[in-house]
Amino acid sequence: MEAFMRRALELARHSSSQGEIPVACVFVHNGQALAEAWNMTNETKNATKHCEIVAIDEILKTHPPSILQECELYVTCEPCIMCASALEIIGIKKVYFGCYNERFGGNGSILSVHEGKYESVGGFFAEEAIKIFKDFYERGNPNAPPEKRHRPVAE
Amino acid sequence: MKEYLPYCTSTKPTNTLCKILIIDAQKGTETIKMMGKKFPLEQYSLNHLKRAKKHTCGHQLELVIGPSNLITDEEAEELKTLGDGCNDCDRIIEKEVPQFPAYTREQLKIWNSFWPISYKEPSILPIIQIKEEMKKIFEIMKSLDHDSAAIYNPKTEEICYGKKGDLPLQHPIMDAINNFPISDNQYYCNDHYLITKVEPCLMCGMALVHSRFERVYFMEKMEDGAYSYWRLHEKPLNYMYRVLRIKKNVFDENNEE
Repeated sequence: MEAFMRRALELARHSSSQGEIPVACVFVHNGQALAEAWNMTNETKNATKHCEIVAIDEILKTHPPSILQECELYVTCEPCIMCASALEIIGIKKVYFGCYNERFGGNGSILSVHEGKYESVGGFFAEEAIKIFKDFYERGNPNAPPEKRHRPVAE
Repeated sequence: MKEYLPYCTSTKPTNTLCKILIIDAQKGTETIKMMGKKFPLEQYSLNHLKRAKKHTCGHQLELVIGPSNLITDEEAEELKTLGDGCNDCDRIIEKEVPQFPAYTREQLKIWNSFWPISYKEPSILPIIQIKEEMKKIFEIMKSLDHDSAAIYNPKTEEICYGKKGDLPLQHPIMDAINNFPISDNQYYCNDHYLITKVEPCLMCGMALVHSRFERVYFMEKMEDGAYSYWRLHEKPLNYMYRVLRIKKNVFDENNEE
């Protein structure tokens, strides 16, 4: 379990170096990593391309949707309301996340979309996830237009 | 038509603690002028507050200085010693005052009970009055089925459609956003409207927040819809679009014309 979260954090750091908001995830099926992804909202100029959505799209290219019901998700930041709902729609088994997302979080912070639907546990390596955010925002989000530069800490 | 009113129209007061100077009313004009220079309310985003309020005993004024956590005791004390030296009755107190402007008349009434507010009519047009635009929105709404959604640019009248697909996340709204053309001078879907017959689900409702839509029009409520069930529009998010539900009978009348 620890290894998957460490891998997600490594991907988040990579995401940051690509000028993307540093959130990343690993979908795990039967103890094996099935897909990895990081946030791609800047590259695609599509605000819905959060890492969870990118990974789900990737998995569904080669697998039937039913496989997602056997997956666990490791993500560096609490899924936003959109992603938390997407995870409910696909029927995810369990979610492990790093830091809480007080602006958009859908697994307890703003809404509890997971309640009665799937198990979600937060706070794994939270300090490390927060540090990656801080480093990123100190440099500034290079792809946001200047007037929008004050982006929320997590998407 | 019904508007799902956002968080900012809530009548639950959100107050902030401020330092208040109480002085003799005769020194009011002079002190207010000086405070305007030294402690401009804009600087604290409190320019919706009126500077002065009559104190309960008629010959004194209460003047708001600024947020308690930003104005030091020394700065506040200094204000007392300005003027002609007759400061026996001058003092500093603290009070809860409205942190945000009043956007509605109802808010104004409640905010005013804490501290006098200057009220400016919100500059948003009542949506029902934009007839030409409404005609176009009805037209698009009519052309949609339950498995499609449209992104409409009210300036250029360009439309981008989305359809429901076979995969679990291929909802019409997600598909429309994926089909939306990328351009350098466009920040996501800023200034665009989303038009759909059925209320967005929570995933799509939040996708519209991330995409910075201007408005959403829908007709039929959904059992676990983003607004009617989840009340997404009332959540303290850093952005929210306007949500408008067109009642079916209004829709029919408009199309029979």
